[in-house]
Amino acid sequence: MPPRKRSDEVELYNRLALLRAERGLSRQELADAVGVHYQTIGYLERGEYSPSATLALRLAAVFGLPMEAVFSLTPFRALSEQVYGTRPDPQETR
Amino acid sequence: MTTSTRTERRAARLDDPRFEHLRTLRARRLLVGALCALLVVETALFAVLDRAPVASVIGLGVLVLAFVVCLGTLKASTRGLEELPEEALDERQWQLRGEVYALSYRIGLGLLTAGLAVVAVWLAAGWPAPGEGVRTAAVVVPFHVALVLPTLVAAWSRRA
Repeated sequence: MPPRKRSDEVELYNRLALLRAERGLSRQELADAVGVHYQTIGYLERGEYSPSATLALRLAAVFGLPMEAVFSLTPFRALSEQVYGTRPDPQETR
Repeated sequence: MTTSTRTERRAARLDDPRFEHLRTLRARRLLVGALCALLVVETALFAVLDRAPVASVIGLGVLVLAFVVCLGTLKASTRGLEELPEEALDERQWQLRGEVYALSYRIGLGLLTAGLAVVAVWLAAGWPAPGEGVRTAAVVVPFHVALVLPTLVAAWSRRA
């Protein structure tokens, strides 16, 4: 069961896991780069913890991206959809 | 060569990967149960202190050792969330610590209120004064509970 969220808490979406995998960074390496515990990176990736603006900016700086490329208040579009402009039809792939 | 501070050494010891098996929710809650059981045994030993002083003192000696081991293991299971200074924690741990202390405060307040109510009823009913052991327990056990309450709450939390 995920931890209880406050009713007024806004969902914060992120691309941390994707970016970390793309750059070949372990959780520990990313945690060391921004000065948090590696466990906190897991909580951030699962969306179970919303970072402060300072931490969000530090994380974005590690990837050399603007903060809005890493965090968003609305769900990110799938990468394939962004690159090719269409969402793949699951029927066609069968 | 860099020399680590006492805080860094303590934080590293409490974050030791060898204790990882103790950091599952099930293991932490079992440890919470064990420490609560030790507090109950402590109360019982104090209660019989008048009738069996030697056995009680020996029992309390063994209990202190079990208490130290259990509390140390519990602290390692939460990576020292409730005891480490601010600089040894990150913002998520700091926030969680705040929640742990707020909940501990509410639980502690409830327990103390209940304790006071028992004393008030005892006095109002005019019951005979309890033995020395019970009076000692009434002072020592709440002190121990206050000491370990944040650790117990942190270990019980899903997010620790």
